[in-house]
Amino acid sequence: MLARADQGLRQERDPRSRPQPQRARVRLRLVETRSDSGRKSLTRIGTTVSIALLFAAAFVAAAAHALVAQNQFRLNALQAQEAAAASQEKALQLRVAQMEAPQRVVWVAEHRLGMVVPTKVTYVQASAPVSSPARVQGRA
Amino acid sequence: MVGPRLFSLRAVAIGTALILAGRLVQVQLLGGATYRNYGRSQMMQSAVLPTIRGPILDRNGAVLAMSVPRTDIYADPRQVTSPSAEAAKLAPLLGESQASITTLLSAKTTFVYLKKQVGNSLTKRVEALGLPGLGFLPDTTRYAPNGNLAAGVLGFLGASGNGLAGLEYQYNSLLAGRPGHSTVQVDPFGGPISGGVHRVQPPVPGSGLELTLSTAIQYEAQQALAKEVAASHARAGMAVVEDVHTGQVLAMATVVSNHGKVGVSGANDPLTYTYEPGSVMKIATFSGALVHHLITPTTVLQVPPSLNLGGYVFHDAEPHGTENLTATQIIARSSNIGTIEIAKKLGATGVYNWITRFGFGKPTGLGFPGASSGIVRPPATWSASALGSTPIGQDTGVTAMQVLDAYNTVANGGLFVRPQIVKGVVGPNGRLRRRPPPATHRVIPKAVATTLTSMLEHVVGPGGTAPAAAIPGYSVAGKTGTAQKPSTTSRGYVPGSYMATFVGFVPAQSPAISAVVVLDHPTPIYGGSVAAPVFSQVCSYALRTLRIPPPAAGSQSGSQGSGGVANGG
Repeated sequence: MLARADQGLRQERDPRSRPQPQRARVRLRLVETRSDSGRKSLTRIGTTVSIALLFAAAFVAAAAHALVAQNQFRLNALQAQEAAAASQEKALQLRVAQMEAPQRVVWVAEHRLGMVVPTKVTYVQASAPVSSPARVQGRA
Repeated sequence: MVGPRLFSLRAVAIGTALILAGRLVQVQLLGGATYRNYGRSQMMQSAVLPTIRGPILDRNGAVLAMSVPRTDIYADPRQVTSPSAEAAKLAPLLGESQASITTLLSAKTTFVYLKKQVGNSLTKRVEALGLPGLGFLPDTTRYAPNGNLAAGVLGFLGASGNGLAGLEYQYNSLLAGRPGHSTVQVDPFGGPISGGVHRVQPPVPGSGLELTLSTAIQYEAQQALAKEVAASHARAGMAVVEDVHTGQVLAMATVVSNHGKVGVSGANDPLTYTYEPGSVMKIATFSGALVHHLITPTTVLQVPPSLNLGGYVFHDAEPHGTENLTATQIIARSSNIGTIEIAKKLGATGVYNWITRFGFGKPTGLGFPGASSGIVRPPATWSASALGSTPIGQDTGVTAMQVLDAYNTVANGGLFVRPQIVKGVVGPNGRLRRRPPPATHRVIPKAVATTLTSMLEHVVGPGGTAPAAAIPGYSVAGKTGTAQKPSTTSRGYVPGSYMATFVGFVPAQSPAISAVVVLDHPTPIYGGSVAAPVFSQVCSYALRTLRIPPPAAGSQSGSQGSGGVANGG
């Protein structure tokens, strides 16, 4: 280490060495051009936005998936409800049909309401002649 | 220089790598498809989506048969943790004994039915128990809300849900619909994966049938028939009521007596039971003779007390001396000898042709399962006595529906109209697709039909064989039949066993409905005594139900009405 320092001293004292004009040493530094700066900031923004978009997309995808799952559950529940309602409708239709069954109607009429079958049917003659219909009509 | 230990280690490593590589090739390449399918089968859950069978309705939309969704409750005993504890909770709900359910839940199997065709509310209560190892399968049950009403016409289903008899069998493919299929990607817990595979082929519900039957008239027919079968100690009875102009069957009933207990039969005898008709067959001979101008209603014929034909002696139901009777009197009194005298004028071929023209020996066109065409033998196969027996309804086999079709033809002015039971098909959307009107063809001229109607009115008159068929206020035309039953074990007939028939239509001058009533082995034996009153009761009810008023007093020609118009002829 000392040897190296002596050598440097000798070089300074060397008469052969021409005097150099004192020039201000220009310090070089990296200068960012405007475009470089813009590009960098754009890149940064782009990266940020991309990441944000990525997160947003992931969030949207997750939210959509959750929504689909939620709607799927809702759909399943509605389908089950629909099936139950349809089943209940059929059961009620059956109940109505059972209530309308002639044997039940007759039983209720005779036993609960005390009705009796008429022994004679009386037809009321219209003032104008009434002809028999040629075809069977009406509810039977 | 590699040491033996390092060598062994390398060999083991290389060997292991080779085994793994080999297994990889085996799994990924050779067995890839198999494992892929295996994986899919674990992820995919396929299910059959049950469809619902279409209903059968009457002419007014009243339900005669319908299917209702139900649930089958089953168990996988391997997953049942405590059979006795679960059975204690299930037994009161399912209405079974705890011991029997414990036995089922302890079975060494993976599937046992605990209860089939359970209703919604009970299913929910069982589900709410949250018991492990229980499962629920969708099912349907077929109901007849009117009990046994028209049971023989409707038929029934087998355990698999397919029709085995009657209309349920005839229209099975239409009523049954088509079950659907679903394939869903499921998670390990069996729940559907959102966004996963979800393929659904929805079930196609069965179409319904709207019949021409009227619930009210059908009920009345069954009741009246059952009452008469019981009163006359008959073995069975059948009745059909039809709309004269459209051929629509309004009621079709079969009643049987089993050891004195009378009930509705599951068979449909009016279409499937063949019997010798007796005197109702005389209409063919009279029609032919009128069409060919061999007789008129007032033509007088000499009727001896008996007639020997081909060695076989024919008699009338009531013994009498030689009489001179008009053609009208012959049919009104149902004289066998008189009819045979007319048949002789017509000839064997003529009698045969007229019998077949009225539809005897041919299918009715309803296509009902097991429907009989009857038996009418061609003249070439007739015995020497057949010209006597065939015109009076022996040696032939008919169904009650064929008999009604023949008389309905007369009521319809000589125009044969094919009968109908199914009015149309009700689509799953509830819309009725009506069937085209039935085919018709002329059998006898209208004038001959009118003449025959007048002659048949006398059957119900005071001098006829069936005054009991009269309906107050209306004129009735018809014919009785009292036929011996052929023996099934030997030649000849069963002594004392008869088929009693009455067939007719009302109002005679403006016919709206026709009906036939047949009793098997009744006491008394005569159609006019046992079948005619049922005809009167059922048709009287049908007229009121269909709101067909009595003809105006001036237009009525019969004697049986309460209007008191004298019997002409």
